[in-house]
Amino acid sequence: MHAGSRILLIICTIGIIALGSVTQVWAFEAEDLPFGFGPEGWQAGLGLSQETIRSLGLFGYEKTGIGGYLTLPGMSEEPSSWFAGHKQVFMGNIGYKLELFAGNTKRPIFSTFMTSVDPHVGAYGEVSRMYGQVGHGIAGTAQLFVNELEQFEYSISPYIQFTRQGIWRFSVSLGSAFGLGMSYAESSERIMLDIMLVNEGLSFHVLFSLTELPVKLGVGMTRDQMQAFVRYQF
Amino acid sequence: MKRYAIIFILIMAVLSGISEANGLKGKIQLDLSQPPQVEETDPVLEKYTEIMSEISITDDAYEVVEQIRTTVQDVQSIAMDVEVSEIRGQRIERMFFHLLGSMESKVVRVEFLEPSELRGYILVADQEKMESRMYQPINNQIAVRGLEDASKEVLSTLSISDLETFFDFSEYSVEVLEAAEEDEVMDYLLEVDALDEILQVRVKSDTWFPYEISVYEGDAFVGTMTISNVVFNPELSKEELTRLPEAKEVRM
Repeated sequence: MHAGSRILLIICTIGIIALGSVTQVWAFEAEDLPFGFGPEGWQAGLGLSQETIRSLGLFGYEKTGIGGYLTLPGMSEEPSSWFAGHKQVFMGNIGYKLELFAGNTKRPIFSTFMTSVDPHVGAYGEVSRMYGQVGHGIAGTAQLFVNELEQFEYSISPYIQFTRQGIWRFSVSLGSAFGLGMSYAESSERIMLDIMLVNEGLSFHVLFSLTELPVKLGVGMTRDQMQAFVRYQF
Repeated sequence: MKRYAIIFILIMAVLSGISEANGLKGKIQLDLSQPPQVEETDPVLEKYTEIMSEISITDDAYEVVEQIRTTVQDVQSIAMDVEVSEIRGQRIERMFFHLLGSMESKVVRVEFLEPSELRGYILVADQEKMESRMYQPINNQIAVRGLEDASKEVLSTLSISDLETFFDFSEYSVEVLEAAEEDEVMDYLLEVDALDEILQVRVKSDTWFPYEISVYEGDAFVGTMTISNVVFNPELSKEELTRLPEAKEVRM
């Protein structure tokens, strides 16, 4: 099957699943225009996300939604896309998240869309437990590549987390690759930072949200790639 | 809930009294063309009279209830620690929180300390703004809800801010079950028949503020609320009561 038609199939499948599961509202809450420059030259596209929040008593709520983006790199005929459906539940200091995704870019870190990944489907899960200002949790990712090798990758990342002028998280990644990670989300989520050391390769991602403009600026850097982008929300 | 029913009936009775009083203003006109009609009884007033007639309170219980009512009457702000133990099936669920409230600014602040599942949560219920704000440590966010959509837990928390009503047991049948003296301080155990539930209220004569309220439904023990470290009229500004950690707000 041609790579382009595989992507379309994945996108359509995810779309149908999402339409079936989110029947309450079918209106995208946030739309944005990602525009960036990376190893495949300039790229521009459209990002969409929709989320419904349902209250679970006094101490809990449930978020259900879909989101993703489609961009067209200047130096490639193949579009880059990543779409996911998710459910996140918080009940007191216990929370979990389940996400099913498909795309041909890496799972975005702060919406950084790195390319050069084979089309794949996957799942991300996370369970977290806080004790006031400190807590811990475990996150896991599994993805199956839709290529001749049918390659399978997974990672399990236990982490500790604490809140001090924002959320700080330190994690270890085990599985197909070994890594160490640190992430920070400022209290109002205006600045977000993620640093990961995987197999002696350092990756660095940062996202700035401008308060006075509906614009987010991001930079992503791995050992062999660097990408900067602007997302204009409308 | 019967307590709210009685309050509702009282409000209705007062309102009907006001409307009757308004009807007396202006000229009196007599319609002599029709025979005089028998005055219809107000069903609300009738129900109120019926409920009030069922209330029985002994003299010593009345004295204690009046002392409690007088104590809470002048309270403008309050700070206290509250422990709630509730029986749910085979389990006893325990919750411990620090409560601050201002009758003037109509704000209640609840800082949850136990159980660990709720440690770090802070609830601010603002009756003037008609909204509640809950800081959630799990995702470092503040959930904002309108009070019209608020759960019964938030509304019952707000009712604590109306101390005068919350601790006024004079509308119920009350009797003193125990009275013991220790170091010249009397310790009373009152039984309050709140129609659908029985409250056992412990109060000491040095503060005249209830320090333990046990709830029974019929013969079944439901739970206990223990109140400690009570401070009357501490200086609490609205800013102090409503201050939450800096975090992203999510409107529910």
